[in-house]
Amino acid sequence: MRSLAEQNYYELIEAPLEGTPQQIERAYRIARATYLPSSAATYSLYSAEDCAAILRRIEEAYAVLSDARLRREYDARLGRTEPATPASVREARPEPPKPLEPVRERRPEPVAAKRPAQAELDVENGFDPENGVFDGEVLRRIRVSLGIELEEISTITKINDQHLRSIEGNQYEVLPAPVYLRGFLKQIAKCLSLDPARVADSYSNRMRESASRRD
Amino acid sequence: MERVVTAERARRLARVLISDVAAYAGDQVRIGLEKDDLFERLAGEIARARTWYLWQVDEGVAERTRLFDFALVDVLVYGHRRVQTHIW
Repeated sequence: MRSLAEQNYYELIEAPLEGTPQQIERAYRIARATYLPSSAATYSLYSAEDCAAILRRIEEAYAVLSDARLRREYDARLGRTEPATPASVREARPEPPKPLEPVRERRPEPVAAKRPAQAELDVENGFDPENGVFDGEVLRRIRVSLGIELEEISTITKINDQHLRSIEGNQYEVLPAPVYLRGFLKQIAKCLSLDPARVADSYSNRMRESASRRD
Repeated sequence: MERVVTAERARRLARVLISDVAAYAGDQVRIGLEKDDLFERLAGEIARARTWYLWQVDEGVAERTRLFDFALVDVLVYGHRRVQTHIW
């Protein structure tokens, strides 16, 4: 693995080479938060001086990658024959909410039951569902933002916590029958002070879209 | 999302985030306690939760970082105190 000093800007902030401006922004924010002096994620790995130097380099990376012209020039220096699509083109196309990222398997022990997807928290987005879509990730984000634990939702609604995790993880293939799911979604929406019908419709539509894409 | 500016809300957010780590980790909390490698085992999930927490909680909140660490121990360790392990 190359040292931080040897990594290019994309590697440094862990952004994809073809990343959209939104992905670059998000990667930058995560990288920055990771190396802030208050971050316990790295406090034992780097000295304060090291962190400051890395943060400077992260800021430098963001300054280049967030500017379409500078980014094209940088890509050319990296030897990329096809520079990234101009930001203006990408920005015109709204991105759908990202599917939840599964936990990276790195453990030797076999797990008895299939592990649900770990909803990756999106540090960029806030409360509002993108494009008005209430999928599992959005519902989870709203729940966390309201300070409500999954167990509390389970206690209030009597919905099995495995079902709740599957709903938040958009694990459509293991969800209960649609008629039950709709009831569950409405109960969850009530706990989150959301419009039950809107949430149930939105989630069901997203699930149907996903199924039709698979077929 | 509205930024968290009070210690009480920060404490609450930390507990929710850590309890989510436990809920989504399944058996990994128990195995981690049994093998005494809980924090290494869940390092990625904890780092993501911490990143979100620090992003949401205002830097002016007193003991911001410690509130998260307290929740970490309280929810992941004390919350699973009935697990049979050599570490206690």
